[in-house]
Amino acid sequence: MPKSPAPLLQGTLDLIVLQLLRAEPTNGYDLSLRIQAISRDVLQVNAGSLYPALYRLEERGLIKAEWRDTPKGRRAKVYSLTTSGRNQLAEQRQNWARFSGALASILETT
Amino acid sequence: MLRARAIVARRALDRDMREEMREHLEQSAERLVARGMTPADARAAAQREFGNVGVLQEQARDIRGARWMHDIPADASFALRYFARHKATTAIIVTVLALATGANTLIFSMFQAQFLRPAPAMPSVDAHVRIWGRQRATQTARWQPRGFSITEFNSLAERREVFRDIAAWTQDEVVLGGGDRTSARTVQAQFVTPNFFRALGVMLSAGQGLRESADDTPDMTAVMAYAMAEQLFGSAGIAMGQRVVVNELPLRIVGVAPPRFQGALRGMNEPALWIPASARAPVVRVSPRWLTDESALSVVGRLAANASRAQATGLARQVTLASLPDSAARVGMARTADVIGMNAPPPGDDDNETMLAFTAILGIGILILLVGCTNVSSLMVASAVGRRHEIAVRISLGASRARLVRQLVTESTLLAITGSAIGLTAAWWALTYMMKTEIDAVDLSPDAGTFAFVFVMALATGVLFGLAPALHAIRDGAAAALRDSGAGAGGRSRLQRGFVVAQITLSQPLLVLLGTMLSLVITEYQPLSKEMSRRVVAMEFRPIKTGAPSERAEAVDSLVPRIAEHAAVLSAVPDATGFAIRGIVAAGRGDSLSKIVTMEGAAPGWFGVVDVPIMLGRDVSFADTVETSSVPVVIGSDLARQLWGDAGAVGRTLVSPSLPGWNQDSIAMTVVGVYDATRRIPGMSWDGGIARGDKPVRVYTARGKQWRHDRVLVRTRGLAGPFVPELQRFVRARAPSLPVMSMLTLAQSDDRAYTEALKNVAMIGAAATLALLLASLGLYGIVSLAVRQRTREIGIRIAVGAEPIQVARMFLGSGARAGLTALALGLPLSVAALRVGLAKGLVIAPQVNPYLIGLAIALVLLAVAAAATWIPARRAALVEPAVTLRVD
Repeated sequence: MPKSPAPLLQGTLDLIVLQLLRAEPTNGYDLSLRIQAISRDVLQVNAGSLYPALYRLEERGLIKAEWRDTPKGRRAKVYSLTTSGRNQLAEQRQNWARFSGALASILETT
Repeated sequence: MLRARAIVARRALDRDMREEMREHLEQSAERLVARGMTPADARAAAQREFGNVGVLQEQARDIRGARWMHDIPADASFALRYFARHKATTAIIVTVLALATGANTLIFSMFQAQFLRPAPAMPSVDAHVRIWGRQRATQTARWQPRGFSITEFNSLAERREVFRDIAAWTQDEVVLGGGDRTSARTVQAQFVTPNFFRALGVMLSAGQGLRESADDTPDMTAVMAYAMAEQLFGSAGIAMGQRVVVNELPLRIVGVAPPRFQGALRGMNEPALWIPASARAPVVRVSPRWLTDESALSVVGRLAANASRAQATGLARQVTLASLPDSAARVGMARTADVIGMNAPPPGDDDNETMLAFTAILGIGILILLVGCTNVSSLMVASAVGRRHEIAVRISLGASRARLVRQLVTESTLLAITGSAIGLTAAWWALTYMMKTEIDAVDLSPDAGTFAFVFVMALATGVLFGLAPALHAIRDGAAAALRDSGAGAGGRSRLQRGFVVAQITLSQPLLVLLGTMLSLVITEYQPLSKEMSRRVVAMEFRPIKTGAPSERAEAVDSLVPRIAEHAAVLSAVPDATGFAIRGIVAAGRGDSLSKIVTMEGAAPGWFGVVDVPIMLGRDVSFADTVETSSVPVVIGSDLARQLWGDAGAVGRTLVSPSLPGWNQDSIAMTVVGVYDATRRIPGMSWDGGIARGDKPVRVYTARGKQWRHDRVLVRTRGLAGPFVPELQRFVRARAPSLPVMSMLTLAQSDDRAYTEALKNVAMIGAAATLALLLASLGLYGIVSLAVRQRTREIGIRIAVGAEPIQVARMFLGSGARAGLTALALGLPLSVAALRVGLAKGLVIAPQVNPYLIGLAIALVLLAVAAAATWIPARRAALVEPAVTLRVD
């Protein structure tokens, strides 16, 4: 039986978006599919959470957006990381590593 | 950057967002079609998966910021629709704001005109300065204002590197006849240095002006005021070259001042003539040495290009110090001078009239604004409470509190803008009208700065006072509001009730103070009987510098019977005046009934001239002037009745004991006559120190000849007006050394006082009406809203059997309770305000007891509160229960 999707920990969506956009600039829909695919359906982010996160990051100057033509002849808004975004991502990755390491240590105690 | 774009390119960003979300939905639908769904189903499923596009777009806008830019037009449109549905409430709020704004604009404009602006038709030039002189007699004495002598003036004028130009004047009252020969008039004239107009930079509207010559021979010319020229000759052009008669001497008009010009400074009493200083000696009949012997000149000047005020002050002080004789300096006398701006208040004035007026005016302005704003706020609270249902529904649909507050503030801003705009427009019309219809001593033209200031203030207070109710309304959660709203319990807001109480409380002291001033004006300025006042001329003589006081008294006294010799004269007497205050007791009475009276010196025949009949006994006579043990007096019929009732007063004795602390001997007085105290007595009376609130009780005697020796009343056979020029010639021929300062019929001076009093009454009446109107509008507005909110309750009560009248009385009771509470709170405030008013000299205790006035106002306010409560309650009680229960 497939497991139900896990709830996103608060504050982690920004980190996820930054990380995935660093790998490859993309639009909002593709990004939501990618999150689902890479996490093997553990994480499912709906539009109601994703787009506010994208706009928030854009407003903070960590990502930027531009309209590009798609292969299908339509236009899509593609997001990519800015320099500040890269720096912020590095910092957040470090913070996450420290946090998860500490949490792991605690959970290993009997 | 994005925030800036959010404001500027709002539409483009919205379009982007919609397109992005549409693209997302299309991609999602394509994916579902690829899985086998029909296009229609795929689109529906994609939509469901996506969620509420509208909510998402709102969230996105919130993140972008500058939401308010998007919301303002929507909020404004919503507000206008709301106003259209609630016309009465909206109209009341706008009216209140308009009244408060308009009143404040008028007040501040008039204050500015009175105290801050240059005099009318004066160019506003920074370099124009006034040289203000002061002197004190000893080291410890207070500084007194002092004019300058011609020597000092010349010393200042020599220093061209400090004063580019400098002019001086002194002012006198003169009698102007000419043009219209039927009546002479007393006017103000300024005797000026010939360069006066040039130094001030004032362009005459006609003529070359005064001749600037070096010699001292009297230059019998004059520049006339524009309004006077129009009045006498029809136009400024026609006035040129005409001759007018001033104090019996002919002067030629050589110029006409610009319209509304009335001197270099404000408050100069509208001089009609500017005459060269060289002509003063013959015209006013003083010694030609007045220029050097007296320090009578007021001085203004224009600073040189590189000179500073500090420099000029230094020079002025040097000059005045040099003018002080050594002997005077040795005993501690000192002189100083300051060079100040033309419109600045004089330095060193602690009890400054300006500061007092400033404080009073500012206080009144703030009070009016406060009353207006509590009105508006209470109305908006009531309105917001009545909209709890609507607000609750919107909260449940997802509106944030911030959003709701923004919308309510938009509404109050719109109301504030509308109200202020109307008020400012009304004030502008009023000021323009006042300027056109009055030859004012001040410049009342509407000022952009004042208007902008009042507009901003009104807007800020309107928004602020709208914010409080908005926050109050959304304070409770949606559930609580929905529960509450259906039952019509919205009217119970404590805040609302508090505002009603605050309203009446704040209005009361204002109304009491205004009512006191009004009653004072009404009772104080009763006109004299026209029969008498048109036939009596009051001649005032200038005090003569030379000769002992007794010589001067003799000169006038000996003139009086000679005036009476004239065929047109019925009688002539010196005017009466008060000379002492005494306490008196009726001799031989067992009780200690005592009164405070003013002792007045009256010459024989005075009562006859002023038409006050002697009812019993006789008038004062010359025989009374002889020293005897008892002083013969004529008392009023009111005093006689108080002391002896209907028994005769003639022959009775009054005793005036010497009281500790009063420097007076004990004297006995014998009543020789009783005058009719119901008649109005003209003239001044010294009543300093008399018990406030009592009508002065006057006791007349000829003992000591203590009547006026500088003012004579002349009773003519026919009307006195046409006789005045003849009278002046007659007097001058018989007493050339006695210069006549003014000659007015009692009717003329009474008219002046009456016009002045009417103006005050009008202004005070307008202010009082405004305050009452604001209070009553506010009260009516809130109460009818409260009734409306409880309409369901009223319907229920009627449906279960209450009489409509009982329901209405229920509201009346609650309204009366609120009113009484406010009155109780307002009473100490009113007493305090009255005390302050008396102490500061803003009001003199009138003949009517001020507490009576307070009671009358309290009753009026209570009646207004009752009417405000009764009318809407009765209206509600008359509606069918079925209809009222339908209302939500």
